[in-house]
Amino acid sequence: MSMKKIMGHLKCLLRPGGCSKTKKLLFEFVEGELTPETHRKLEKHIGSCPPCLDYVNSYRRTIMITHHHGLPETPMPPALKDKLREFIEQNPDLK
Amino acid sequence: MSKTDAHIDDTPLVARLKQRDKSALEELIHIHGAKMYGVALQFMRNESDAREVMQDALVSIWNKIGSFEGKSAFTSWIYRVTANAGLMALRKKKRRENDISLDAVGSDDDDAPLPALQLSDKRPLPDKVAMTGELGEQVRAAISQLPEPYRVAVLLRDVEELPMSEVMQETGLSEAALKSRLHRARLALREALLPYLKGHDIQKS
Repeated sequence: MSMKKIMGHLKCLLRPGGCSKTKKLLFEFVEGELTPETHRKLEKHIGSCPPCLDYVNSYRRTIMITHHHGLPETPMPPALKDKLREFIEQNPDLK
Repeated sequence: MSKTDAHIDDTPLVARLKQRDKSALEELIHIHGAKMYGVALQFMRNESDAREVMQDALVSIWNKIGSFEGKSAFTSWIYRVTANAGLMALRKKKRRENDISLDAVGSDDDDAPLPALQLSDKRPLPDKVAMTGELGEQVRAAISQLPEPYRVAVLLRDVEELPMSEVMQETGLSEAALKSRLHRARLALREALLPYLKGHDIQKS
């Protein structure tokens, strides 16, 4: 491993939340909105920078679990079902 | 949306709605009511307001069913209609309460500094064993603690997975404002859920 690469890793480790450039481009990176060139460069950096990799992965996982668990799984209260039935029967807008 | 939804053939239900068969609305409640209720509840955070949202959604579904062409799944369409009813109800509520404007929570200007969003409830670190079962509960709790404009952005984009363009249209936000709002909301959620993110295999989406 070259000295430049080692220094790069050390620099990254001093920033446990990830590097500022990664943070700045994070949204566009995850949404796939960067130019192919910038995307490739950032991807390469992330691949060699553990704090950035952790940061990006945790951001992606946040989106993923938000999607999968974002809505309550509680069943509709029976009383609400009855009220909605009543609403359907009586509401003049539903003709 | 869910695996269960994928197995439901809504074609007959849609046909009956298009034929103005009111009993089809009751069947709609029977089949999809729980998920609609979930959407309404995440927007309104209480049962009484969620009921009003569901009623508004039923009226919208009834009035707009003619425009449903089947390009997207019927389930996605009704949840989108419900989310829209939720958004409208929040606006109405805000006007009624003469509350702060939607933008008062923080600036979305590109150049403005973006202070981190803080969720009100600092959760204790979870017991690793209880993590999996609690995850859903914690995610929903974290979402519901987001200030309203951020919650709406997350619900429409990340939970309902509406395209950015549609969320912009629904919320009336510029692209830059929406991105900023969504990003800050995601960072706040990430912060709140960090204990649950660590120690799990993280897959690239």
